[in-house]
This record gives sequence, C-alpha cells and structure tokens, in this order.
Amino acid sequence: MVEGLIRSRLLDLSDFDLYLANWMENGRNEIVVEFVLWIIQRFVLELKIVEASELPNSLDLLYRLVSQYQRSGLKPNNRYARAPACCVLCAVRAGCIELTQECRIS
Amino acid sequence: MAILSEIDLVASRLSVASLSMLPAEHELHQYIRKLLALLVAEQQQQQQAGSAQPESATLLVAKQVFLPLFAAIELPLRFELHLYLLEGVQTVCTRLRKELTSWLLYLDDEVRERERERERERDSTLFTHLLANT
Repeated sequence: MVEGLIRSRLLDLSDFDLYLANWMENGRNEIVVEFVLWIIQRFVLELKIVEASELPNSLDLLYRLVSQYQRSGLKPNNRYARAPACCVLCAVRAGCIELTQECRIS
Repeated sequence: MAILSEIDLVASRLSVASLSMLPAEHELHQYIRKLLALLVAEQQQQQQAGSAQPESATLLVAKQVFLPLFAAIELPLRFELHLYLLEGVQTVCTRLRKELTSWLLYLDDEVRERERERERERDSTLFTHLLANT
C-alpha cells in the first residue's frame, strides 16, 4: 500500500518524514524504527524512487541512534537495527546506492 | 456518492489485467472524468459561497476512495483503480497529498474506530432484536 502511494507520488514525503521521525521517539518505538529502516531499504536503496534527501529528519535520527549504539556498545533488540542497519545508513549517507550482499537486510 | 458506486460496478465487470489496457473513451474513464468535473464544480461553488474549506467535499470523496485501498491489496485491478482515482483527485485538490499522508499514518486508528462502530451497530441491532423478542 505504501509502495503504491509512494510510486504514484501521492504522499507528501516531507510530512511523512516528520511524522516518522517523531514516532520513532528517539529510538524507543522500535516498531517504527524498523518500519523506517524498511522504507529506506525498499524505496531509497532498492527501488530508488525516493531520494535520501527527502527523508532528512528520519535519517538524522537513525544516524544518531546507530552512532549512539556503536558508542555505548549496547545492542538494540530489533533485528533491523543491528549491523545491517548501520550498513544501510552508511550507504545512504555516503550516497552509495548499491548494497553488498552482506549489508542487505534479510 | 453514487458515481463512486458506478465506478466500482464498472470496474467489477472488467476483464483486463490493468487499467492502462482500457481505451481513453472507456466507460470507466468517462465516469472518472465526470467525478472530477463534479468535484471541481463543487469546489468552485464553495469558493463562491465564501467557504473557508472549499475542498472539504473533495477530501471526503478522496477518503472514501482511500479507505478501501488496504482491503484491495490482494486485488490488483481494484488497487490500481483506487490509486488512479486518488491521482485524479490530486489534480483537482492540492491538499490531498498532505491529507493522504496523515490518513495513511493514522490508518490503524481509523480501521479500529470503524471496527468499533460496526461492533456498536451489531450490539445495538442485537439488543433491539433481543428486546423485540422478549
């Protein structure tokens, strides 16, 4: 459903980004964090129909969370926020569109 | 809105895999053009009447098109039709993208509320029925 709406350019991505960034509640809402990571994986990296620059707030927050996790040495519980998530975020940050097999979220 | 039912009825009779296979003059496209023309006319009428929200009727129609989208995921043609309708409404209503974004993110709440409403209706019907039979 989200895919259909995004493909048809029926969503206001700046609003979508703001809602998602707020709903992640600084990483406390893991379901939303996973959803955002899926959005990035699917639409930015795989389908390439959304630019990373269209989701600045969500990406900033995720980047901060990943950096925080890395500094603290704590492992977050959700499966998307483990190592592959770092790869996804780094790839997005670096403008690297192609994901290597080991970085791909399973 | 009756015209939405007409569109659904025509769509249910289609045997094509995609709307793109229909000619521009197909009955379905004619109904969609008619719907959009009605929405534009309504907005103009509201503007002339000094309404603060001339697009409110259009947004109500858009919501009626949007809400069944989730249930139509397994039905590609129906899903395509609803997206196509929303794309059409977007051309006559600049606020639609913002509203759609909000509807999507609060869809769970909306679905839950609809379920609660249906339950209330069921309960009240059942209660009325029980009372009538006592």
